[in-house]
Amino acid sequence: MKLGKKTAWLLKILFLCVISIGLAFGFNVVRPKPFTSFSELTAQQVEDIVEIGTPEMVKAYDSGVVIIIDARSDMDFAMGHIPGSISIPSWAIGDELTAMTSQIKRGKSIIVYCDGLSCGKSLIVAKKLLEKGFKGISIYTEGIDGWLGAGRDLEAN
Amino acid sequence: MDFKSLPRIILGIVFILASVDKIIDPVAFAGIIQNYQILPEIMVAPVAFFLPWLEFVCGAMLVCNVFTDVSIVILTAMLLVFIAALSANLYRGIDVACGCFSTDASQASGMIETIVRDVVLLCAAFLAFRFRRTSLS
Repeated sequence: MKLGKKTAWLLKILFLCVISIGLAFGFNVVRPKPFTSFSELTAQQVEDIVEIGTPEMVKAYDSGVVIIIDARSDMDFAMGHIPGSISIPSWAIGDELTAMTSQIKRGKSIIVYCDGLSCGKSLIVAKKLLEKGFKGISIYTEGIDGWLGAGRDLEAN
Repeated sequence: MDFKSLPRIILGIVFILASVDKIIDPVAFAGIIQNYQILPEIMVAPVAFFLPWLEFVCGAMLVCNVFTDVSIVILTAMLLVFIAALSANLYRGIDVACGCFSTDASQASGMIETIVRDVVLLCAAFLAFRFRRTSLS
Protein backbone atom coordinates (compact mmCIF):
# COMPACT_ATOMS: atom_id res chain seq x y z
CA MET A 1 0.00 0.00 0.00
CA LYS A 2 1.47 3.35 -1.05
CA LEU A 3 0.67 6.29 1.22
CA GLY A 4 0.09 9.76 -0.15
CA LYS A 5 2.88 12.26 0.52
CA LYS A 6 0.70 14.34 2.86
CA THR A 7 -0.45 11.27 4.80
CA ALA A 8 3.13 10.07 5.17
CA TRP A 9 4.18 13.48 6.53
CA LEU A 10 1.28 13.58 8.96
CA LEU A 11 2.12 10.07 10.15
CA LYS A 12 5.75 11.03 10.72
CA ILE A 13 4.73 14.16 12.67
CA LEU A 14 2.32 12.03 14.69
CA PHE A 15 5.09 9.48 15.32
CA LEU A 16 7.45 12.14 16.72
CA CYS A 17 4.65 13.57 18.88
CA VAL A 18 3.81 10.12 20.25
CA ILE A 19 7.48 9.47 21.07
CA SER A 20 7.67 12.83 22.86
CA ILE A 21 4.51 12.15 24.87
CA GLY A 22 5.79 8.66 25.75
CA LEU A 23 9.14 10.05 26.92
CA ALA A 24 7.41 12.81 28.93
CA PHE A 25 5.30 10.26 30.80
CA GLY A 26 8.20 7.78 31.09
CA PHE A 27 10.53 10.42 32.55
CA ASN A 28 7.80 11.56 34.92
CA VAL A 29 7.64 8.05 36.40
CA VAL A 30 11.34 8.15 37.36
CA ARG A 31 11.17 11.65 38.88
CA PRO A 32 11.80 11.70 42.66
CA LYS A 33 8.30 13.20 43.04
CA PRO A 34 6.25 12.33 39.93
CA PHE A 35 3.44 14.69 38.92
CA THR A 36 0.07 12.98 39.25
CA SER A 37 -1.93 15.62 37.37
CA PHE A 38 -1.31 18.59 35.09
CA SER A 39 -2.74 20.96 37.68
CA GLU A 40 0.27 20.22 39.92
CA LEU A 41 2.50 22.00 37.42
CA THR A 42 0.66 25.27 37.82
CA ALA A 43 -0.48 24.85 41.41
CA GLN A 44 2.95 24.67 43.10
CA GLN A 45 3.24 26.94 46.17
CA VAL A 46 -0.51 27.50 45.94
CA GLU A 47 -1.11 25.77 49.27
CA ASP A 48 0.01 29.07 50.87
CA ILE A 49 -2.50 31.11 48.87
CA VAL A 50 -6.12 31.33 50.01
CA GLU A 51 -9.00 31.88 47.60
CA ILE A 52 -11.79 34.20 48.72
CA GLY A 53 -15.18 35.16 47.28
CA THR A 54 -17.06 38.45 47.12
CA PRO A 55 -18.53 38.43 50.69
CA GLU A 56 -15.06 37.94 52.24
CA MET A 57 -13.57 40.50 49.88
CA VAL A 58 -16.18 43.13 50.73
CA LYS A 59 -15.75 42.46 54.46
CA ALA A 60 -11.96 42.68 54.23
CA TYR A 61 -12.14 45.85 52.12
CA ASP A 62 -14.55 47.55 54.49
CA SER A 63 -12.32 46.70 57.46
CA GLY A 64 -9.59 48.76 55.76
CA VAL A 65 -6.74 46.61 57.07
CA VAL A 66 -5.84 44.77 53.87
CA ILE A 67 -3.65 45.69 50.94
CA ILE A 68 -5.35 45.12 47.61
CA ILE A 69 -3.29 44.37 44.52
CA ASP A 70 -4.55 44.70 40.93
CA ALA A 71 -2.77 42.10 38.74
CA ARG A 72 -4.12 43.40 35.41
CA SER A 73 -2.30 45.57 32.90
CA ASP A 74 -1.48 49.25 33.53
CA MET A 75 -4.11 50.22 30.97
CA ASP A 76 -6.86 48.15 32.61
CA PHE A 77 -5.85 49.58 35.99
CA ALA A 78 -6.06 53.15 34.68
CA MET A 79 -9.50 52.51 33.22
CA GLY A 80 -10.94 51.29 36.50
CA HIS A 81 -9.79 49.46 39.63
CA ILE A 82 -10.96 48.69 43.13
CA PRO A 83 -10.49 51.96 45.07
CA GLY A 84 -7.18 52.08 46.94
CA SER A 85 -5.63 49.12 45.15
CA ILE A 86 -2.01 49.00 44.00
CA SER A 87 -1.11 48.02 40.44
CA ILE A 88 1.32 45.12 40.01
CA PRO A 89 0.79 43.76 36.47
CA SER A 90 1.39 40.04 36.07
CA TRP A 91 4.23 40.60 33.60
CA ALA A 92 6.34 42.51 36.14
CA ILE A 93 9.69 40.88 36.90
CA GLY A 94 13.14 41.79 38.21
CA ASP A 95 13.85 45.35 39.36
CA GLU A 96 10.45 46.57 38.19
CA LEU A 97 8.70 44.00 40.37
CA THR A 98 10.93 44.90 43.33
CA ALA A 99 10.08 48.60 42.92
CA MET A 100 6.36 47.79 42.78
CA THR A 101 6.40 45.48 45.79
CA SER A 102 8.28 48.10 47.84
CA GLN A 103 4.92 49.94 48.12
CA ILE A 104 3.48 47.01 50.06
CA LYS A 105 3.67 47.24 53.83
CA ARG A 106 4.89 43.91 55.20
CA GLY A 107 2.83 42.19 57.87
CA LYS A 108 -0.51 43.19 56.40
CA SER A 109 -2.86 40.77 54.64
CA ILE A 110 -2.79 40.98 50.86
CA ILE A 111 -5.62 40.34 48.40
CA VAL A 112 -4.83 40.00 44.70
CA TYR A 113 -7.46 40.25 41.99
CA CYS A 114 -7.77 40.46 38.21
CA ASP A 115 -10.75 40.37 35.83
CA GLY A 116 -12.73 37.41 37.09
CA LEU A 117 -12.97 33.64 37.27
CA SER A 118 -11.15 32.87 34.01
CA CYS A 119 -8.27 35.25 34.71
CA GLY A 120 -5.00 33.66 35.89
CA LYS A 121 -3.06 36.89 36.45
CA SER A 122 -3.85 37.15 40.15
CA LEU A 123 -2.34 33.70 40.72
CA ILE A 124 0.84 34.72 38.87
CA VAL A 125 1.23 37.86 40.99
CA ALA A 126 0.36 35.97 44.20
CA LYS A 127 3.13 33.45 43.45
CA LYS A 128 5.61 36.26 42.80
CA LEU A 129 4.69 37.89 46.11
CA LEU A 130 5.20 34.56 47.87
CA GLU A 131 8.64 34.28 46.29
CA LYS A 132 9.39 37.78 47.61
CA GLY A 133 8.59 36.55 51.11
CA PHE A 134 5.15 38.12 51.60
CA LYS A 135 2.69 36.23 53.79
CA GLY A 136 -1.09 36.19 54.22
CA ILE A 137 -1.86 36.31 50.51
CA SER A 138 -5.39 35.70 49.20
CA ILE A 139 -6.80 35.68 45.70
CA TYR A 140 -10.15 37.31 45.08
CA THR A 141 -11.29 34.81 42.45
CA GLU A 142 -14.33 36.71 41.18
CA GLY A 143 -12.21 39.80 40.58
CA ILE A 144 -13.60 42.95 38.96
CA ASP A 145 -16.67 41.06 37.70
CA GLY A 146 -17.62 39.97 41.23
CA TRP A 147 -16.87 43.42 42.67
CA LEU A 148 -19.16 45.16 40.17
CA GLY A 149 -21.74 42.40 40.63
CA ALA A 150 -21.83 43.27 44.35
CA GLY A 151 -22.77 46.82 43.41
CA ARG A 152 -19.40 48.28 44.31
CA ASP A 153 -17.75 51.11 42.41
CA LEU A 154 -14.43 51.33 40.65
CA GLU A 155 -11.92 54.15 40.77
CA ALA A 156 -10.23 55.43 37.62
CA ASN A 157 -7.05 57.44 37.16
CA MET B 1 30.87 14.76 8.10
CA ASP B 2 30.73 17.51 5.49
CA PHE B 3 29.90 21.19 5.85
CA LYS B 4 26.38 20.58 4.56
CA SER B 5 25.61 18.59 7.72
CA LEU B 6 26.66 21.41 10.04
CA PRO B 7 23.37 23.43 10.10
CA ARG B 8 21.42 20.23 10.85
CA ILE B 9 23.75 19.12 13.65
CA ILE B 10 24.06 22.60 15.19
CA LEU B 11 20.27 23.07 15.12
CA GLY B 12 19.80 19.64 16.71
CA ILE B 13 22.30 20.31 19.49
CA VAL B 14 20.81 23.76 20.19
CA PHE B 15 17.33 22.29 20.66
CA ILE B 16 18.59 19.41 22.80
CA LEU B 17 20.41 21.87 25.07
CA ALA B 18 17.38 24.17 25.14
CA SER B 19 15.11 21.34 26.26
CA VAL B 20 17.17 20.04 29.21
CA ASP B 21 16.35 22.68 31.83
CA LYS B 22 12.68 22.67 30.87
CA ILE B 23 12.49 18.86 31.08
CA ILE B 24 14.04 18.92 34.54
CA ASP B 25 11.82 21.73 35.89
CA PRO B 26 8.44 21.83 34.09
CA VAL B 27 6.92 23.82 36.98
CA ALA B 28 9.28 26.75 36.36
CA PHE B 29 8.70 26.44 32.63
CA ALA B 30 4.93 26.54 33.21
CA GLY B 31 5.47 29.79 35.14
CA ILE B 32 7.35 31.27 32.19
CA ILE B 33 4.61 30.23 29.76
CA GLN B 34 2.07 31.90 32.09
CA ASN B 35 4.14 35.09 32.03
CA TYR B 36 3.77 35.22 28.24
CA GLN B 37 -0.01 35.59 28.76
CA ILE B 38 -0.73 34.07 25.36
CA LEU B 39 -1.99 30.54 26.07
CA PRO B 40 -5.25 29.89 27.93
CA GLU B 41 -4.64 28.66 31.50
CA ILE B 42 -5.85 25.15 30.68
CA MET B 43 -3.14 24.74 28.01
CA VAL B 44 -0.19 25.92 30.11
CA ALA B 45 0.55 22.69 32.02
CA PRO B 46 0.25 20.24 29.05
CA VAL B 47 2.47 22.49 26.92
CA ALA B 48 5.04 22.80 29.74
CA PHE B 49 5.00 19.01 30.12
CA PHE B 50 5.28 17.95 26.44
CA LEU B 51 6.91 20.77 24.47
CA PRO B 52 10.44 20.32 25.93
CA TRP B 53 10.33 16.64 25.01
CA LEU B 54 9.23 17.45 21.46
CA GLU B 55 12.20 19.83 21.24
CA PHE B 56 14.49 17.10 22.58
CA VAL B 57 13.17 14.40 20.24
CA CYS B 58 13.33 16.61 17.13
CA GLY B 59 16.82 17.79 18.12
CA ALA B 60 17.99 14.21 18.61
CA MET B 61 16.47 13.18 15.27
CA LEU B 62 18.39 15.96 13.55
CA VAL B 63 21.69 14.97 15.15
CA CYS B 64 21.09 11.31 14.18
CA ASN B 65 19.85 12.34 10.70
CA VAL B 66 16.61 10.41 11.09
CA PHE B 67 13.21 11.89 10.11
CA THR B 68 15.20 15.02 9.29
CA ASP B 69 12.64 16.73 7.09
CA VAL B 70 9.75 16.34 9.56
CA SER B 71 11.94 17.37 12.51
CA ILE B 72 13.07 20.51 10.69
CA VAL B 73 9.47 21.41 9.85
CA ILE B 74 8.35 20.93 13.49
CA LEU B 75 11.27 22.96 14.85
CA THR B 76 10.68 25.67 12.23
CA ALA B 77 7.03 25.87 13.30
CA MET B 78 8.18 26.18 16.95
CA LEU B 79 10.65 28.94 16.05
CA LEU B 80 7.94 30.85 14.18
CA VAL B 81 5.62 30.56 17.20
CA PHE B 82 8.42 31.71 19.56
CA ILE B 83 9.20 34.69 17.32
CA ALA B 84 5.50 35.61 17.09
CA ALA B 85 5.05 35.31 20.88
CA LEU B 86 8.17 37.38 21.64
CA SER B 87 7.23 40.00 19.05
CA ALA B 88 3.69 40.23 20.43
CA ASN B 89 5.01 40.79 23.95
CA LEU B 90 7.59 43.28 22.71
CA TYR B 91 4.76 45.18 21.02
CA ARG B 92 2.60 45.02 24.16
CA GLY B 93 5.54 46.14 26.31
CA ILE B 94 5.50 42.94 28.33
CA ASP B 95 9.10 42.06 29.16
CA VAL B 96 9.24 38.35 30.04
CA ALA B 97 12.09 35.90 30.52
CA CYS B 98 12.16 33.96 27.25
CA GLY B 99 12.55 30.49 28.80
CA CYS B 100 14.68 29.45 25.84
CA PHE B 101 17.65 27.82 27.57
CA SER B 102 16.85 28.45 31.21
CA THR B 103 13.70 28.30 33.32
CA ASP B 104 14.88 31.12 35.59
CA ALA B 105 12.05 33.65 35.25
CA SER B 106 14.12 36.41 36.87
CA GLN B 107 16.75 36.30 34.11
CA ALA B 108 17.02 39.41 31.97
CA SER B 109 15.37 38.47 28.72
CA GLY B 110 16.83 40.75 26.03
CA MET B 111 13.82 40.16 23.82
CA ILE B 112 15.25 41.70 20.66
CA GLU B 113 18.43 39.59 20.97
CA THR B 114 16.26 36.52 21.48
CA ILE B 115 14.22 37.30 18.37
CA VAL B 116 17.43 37.80 16.35
CA ARG B 117 18.78 34.49 17.67
CA ASP B 118 15.56 32.72 16.67
CA VAL B 119 15.78 34.24 13.17
CA VAL B 120 19.38 32.95 12.90
CA LEU B 121 18.13 29.50 13.95
CA LEU B 122 15.40 29.79 11.30
CA CYS B 123 18.12 30.36 8.71
CA ALA B 124 19.98 27.29 10.03
CA ALA B 125 16.73 25.33 9.71
CA PHE B 126 16.34 26.51 6.12
CA LEU B 127 19.90 25.43 5.29
CA ALA B 128 19.41 22.09 7.06
CA PHE B 129 16.25 21.49 5.02
CA ARG B 130 18.00 22.52 1.81
CA PHE B 131 20.90 20.11 2.39
CA ARG B 132 18.94 17.29 4.02
CA ARG B 133 19.79 13.70 3.15
CA THR B 134 17.93 11.49 5.51
CA SER B 135 17.72 7.77 5.94
CA LEU B 136 14.03 7.52 6.93
CA SER B 137 12.34 10.40 5.16
